[in-house]
Amino acid sequence: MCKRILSAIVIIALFSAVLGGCQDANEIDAVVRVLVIGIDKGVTDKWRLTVQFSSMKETPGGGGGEEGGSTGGGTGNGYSHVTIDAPSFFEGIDMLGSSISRKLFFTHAGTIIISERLAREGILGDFIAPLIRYKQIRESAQLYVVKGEAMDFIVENQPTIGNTLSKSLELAAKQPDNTGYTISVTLNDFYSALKSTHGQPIMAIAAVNDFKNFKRDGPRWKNEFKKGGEYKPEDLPRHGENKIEFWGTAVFNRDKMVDELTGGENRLLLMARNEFKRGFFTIRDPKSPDRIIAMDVLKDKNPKIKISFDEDGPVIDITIFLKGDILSIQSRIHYEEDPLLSTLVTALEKDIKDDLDRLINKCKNQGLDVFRFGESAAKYFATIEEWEKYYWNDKFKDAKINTKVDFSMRRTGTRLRSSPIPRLKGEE
Amino acid sequence: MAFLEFIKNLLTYKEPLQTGRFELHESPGENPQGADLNIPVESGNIPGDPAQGSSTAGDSTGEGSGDSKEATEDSQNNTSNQSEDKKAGIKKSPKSLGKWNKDRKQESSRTKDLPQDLPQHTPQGSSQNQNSPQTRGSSQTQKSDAVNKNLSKNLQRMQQDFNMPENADIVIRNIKAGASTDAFILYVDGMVDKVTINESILSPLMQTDQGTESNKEPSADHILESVLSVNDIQKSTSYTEIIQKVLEGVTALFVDGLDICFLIETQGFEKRNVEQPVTERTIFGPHEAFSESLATNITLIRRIIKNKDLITETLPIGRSNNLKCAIMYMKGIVNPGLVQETKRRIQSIDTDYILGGGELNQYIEDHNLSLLPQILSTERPDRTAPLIMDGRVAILYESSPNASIVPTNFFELIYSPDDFFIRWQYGTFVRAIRYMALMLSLFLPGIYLAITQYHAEAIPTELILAIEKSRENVPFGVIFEILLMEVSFELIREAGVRVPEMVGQTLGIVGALILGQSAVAANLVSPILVIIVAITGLGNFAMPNHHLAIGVRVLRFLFILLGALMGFYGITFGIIIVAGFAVHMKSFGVPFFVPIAPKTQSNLETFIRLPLWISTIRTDSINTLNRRSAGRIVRRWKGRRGE
Repeated sequence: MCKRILSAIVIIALFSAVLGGCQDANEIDAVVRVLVIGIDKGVTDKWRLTVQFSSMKETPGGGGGEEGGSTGGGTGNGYSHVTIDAPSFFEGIDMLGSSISRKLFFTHAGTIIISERLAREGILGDFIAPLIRYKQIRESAQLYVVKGEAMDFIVENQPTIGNTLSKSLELAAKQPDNTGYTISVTLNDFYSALKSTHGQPIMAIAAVNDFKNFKRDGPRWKNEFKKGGEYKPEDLPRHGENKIEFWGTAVFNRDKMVDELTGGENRLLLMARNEFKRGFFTIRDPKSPDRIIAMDVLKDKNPKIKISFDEDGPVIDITIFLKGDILSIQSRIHYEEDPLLSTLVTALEKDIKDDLDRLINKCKNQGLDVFRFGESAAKYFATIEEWEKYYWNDKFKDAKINTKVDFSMRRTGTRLRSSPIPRLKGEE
Repeated sequence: MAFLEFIKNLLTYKEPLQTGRFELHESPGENPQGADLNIPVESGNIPGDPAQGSSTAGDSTGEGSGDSKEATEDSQNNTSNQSEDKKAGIKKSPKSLGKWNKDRKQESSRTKDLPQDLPQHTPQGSSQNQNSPQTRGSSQTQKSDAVNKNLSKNLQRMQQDFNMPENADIVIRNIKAGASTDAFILYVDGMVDKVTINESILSPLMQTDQGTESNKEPSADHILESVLSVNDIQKSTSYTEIIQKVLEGVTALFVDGLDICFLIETQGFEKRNVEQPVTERTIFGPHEAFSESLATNITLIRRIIKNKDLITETLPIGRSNNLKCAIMYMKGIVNPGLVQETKRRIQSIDTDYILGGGELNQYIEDHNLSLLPQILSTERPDRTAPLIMDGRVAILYESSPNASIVPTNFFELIYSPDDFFIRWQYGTFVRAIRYMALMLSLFLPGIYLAITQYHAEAIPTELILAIEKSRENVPFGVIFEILLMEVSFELIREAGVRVPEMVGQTLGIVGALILGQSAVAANLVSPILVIIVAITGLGNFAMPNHHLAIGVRVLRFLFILLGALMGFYGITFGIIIVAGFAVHMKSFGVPFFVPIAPKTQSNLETFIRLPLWISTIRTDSINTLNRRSAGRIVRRWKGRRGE
């Protein structure tokens, strides 16, 4: 009996080892782990593929890049990158093997950069769909459309805080929760949206800012009012730090990029998509228009979306619930209590609502439902067939959308009221 | 074709329902202790009951024991006995109460037919004719075993039996009792307390004024009642018993004209004091450990359980070295079947020499191939006593500072007496730590290997880059690294046991540190691996049961191998195989993974050290006679609702 059981175990163990066991062992240091993949339109071939990886050198600044790496380009911090023109992504990997001594491994490729030129040409579907099939590609990889060339982005990306590229990219993908000026879209998100019948895909925009919009000298700012979110990607008037920036959203019609949203519009997009967490907002002071009031705005509840269908098309009622604190009142007017408090709240609600309406109209006119309204609308259909026959993406153009913003002021910062600054008699 | 047949047999294999193994069923009532030793607990054992064979072995000069082995094999193979085959299909545990009683009645009537003078579990029973290994199995000229009235014949016999001229430490002292009667005392030098012999035996015996009438005819009663001032004296007429007792440190007194011998308790040999436990240290609670003296060990238990129902039975183990062991249990709580089975197993062992608990455990455990211990071996009386109160049987040994407790289960091997001396919250926490330690020491190197070789995507990017960078200058594969470190760690540990105490600990720690550090510096291993091996080692040291810890050390290498060959799949596979074996195991008829598999009551206690006033039921799986260990409301001062 014992003999039988033993031989049974031996046989099962052998069979399972031979037939079932994992067979793709790789010595951990025998491969090179790609951290960033960049895709451009090629010159000598269809795709221009750039991969960035750790050069496995302990000390920053050691070693130079291989082909494609300009001086200091990505190599200074122990990272290196290679670029190649290839007929397909996968062939490109093997062609790169001619210059890289180790096997390229994509299991830790957390970021995929696609050039704007490629995105606008509408051949992204040719690339994304085969890519997602490959088992080493993470579906949780962050996708960015980059203004300019993906290769330049990789070259210019030099994290100044810490020297870990992967960590800085991972944390950058969490920034939407802190600022709302960018959005986090993974490969999986994009691919699902690409196939979906209830909306259009979007992608975050990355850019290389060469600080040309930062003017050191010139006539100084007067009393004009401009919101921070109105800038376009690669145009932020900043200087210093890393050259790369994540700002705004690329809007797609299927796999063709058709429009881009500014950082401010991105916030409103997040609100409608129920992805908004928080952000500092600035509005014009209702009583003293040449001054501003800054507020910390947070999401309060999930937005309420009600959809009804009439013969002209869908009617969408969306209410966005926000809450927040007062951060600064430059005019020192006592907005902290009613009746002025409700004036302030109404002003903010109106400000957000106007911007949101403008954004929705802009997208609606192009028939791009990037707000996830389709997901809510689909719930009103009994079967998938019915839903698919409705052709939401076509009908969205005719949708009537009523927006409402509900803001409630929670706190007044660390001050209950602003006391006036005493002036000398003569000054008054 | 034969191979196909073999595969077919494998696939259609069914384990026979009746395995012939002992199973601990519920007992309807208490058995008269030790009265009918041969009542089998399970009907399957009746016809070829090894217990009968082995316990009659003493009479039939060795042949019987051979039979009993065969009988055991037969009943396990389940082939020979037709009666068994008939029952095999029907009998499945547990039986109904009525059926149990019926069977039992039948069995007891059958056992009554057997000769009633079966040797009881007293030393002379098994030592008959078996004292010297060279006589085993050979035909021996039968001498009379009865003590002779003639003193010189007794003297001659004793000198002969003890191989006197050669045997230097046997002392025979001739005296004249009461100035007229010839007598001699016999003892083993070193085993006796000389003060007792001088003052309480020799001195009163050699006084001349013994009373007038006794001078003429020595009377046994007179000597017993009026002369010898020793607390424990027995009369014996059997040479075999006398020899055995003398070897245990008793002084024998032969008097001319009496056909009895006085066995006077004079044990007094050198022994170690009660000291601190070595492997099972705790912070709170008593700091006493068992020692090599059986009497001391029993006393240590008796001091904790002061109850008349705490039964201590002594049994000899080892046919030739005649070491004593004591089984202790609570009458009225313990399942009588368990006591019988324990005694049956111990008595049936036919070997010349057993040294204490470590060896006996291997003779009586259920599964000899398993890597996990099935008997709880402890050196702490305060661990033994609660388990006796819970309804277990404890086996204590002469010459071995451990107690064996049967039955046990896997989870008890993780408990430490510490758990019960501290508040339940803390107890639960440290118990959780120990489970974590078990997991780490068992799986960590294997999982590290599997993850780095097969599933690198599961490691955060920064970490894997760090690992890769640290391995950049290491020329070997991860598996070689791990084996190198694990083997060196085992070497250090094994050497640490043997290194003299003065340098032992320092050497162990420093050795490990230096080895780890310089191995990294020499680019033999990566630093992260040193951490892995260190955590694994720590986890292993955190385990309270030494035997389990060794088993885990061995199993760890299995998981390293499986992880290297097959990744997570291999580790899962290994867990299934090991868990399958473990769940299949039994410790004295009780499933090893109780109360998880099979599920019984008081499941919570396995992971949470329940508050003492909540656990009022004894361990369910061992089917004690008395289930409740505390009142329904334990803290009566608090009342039911704490008012």
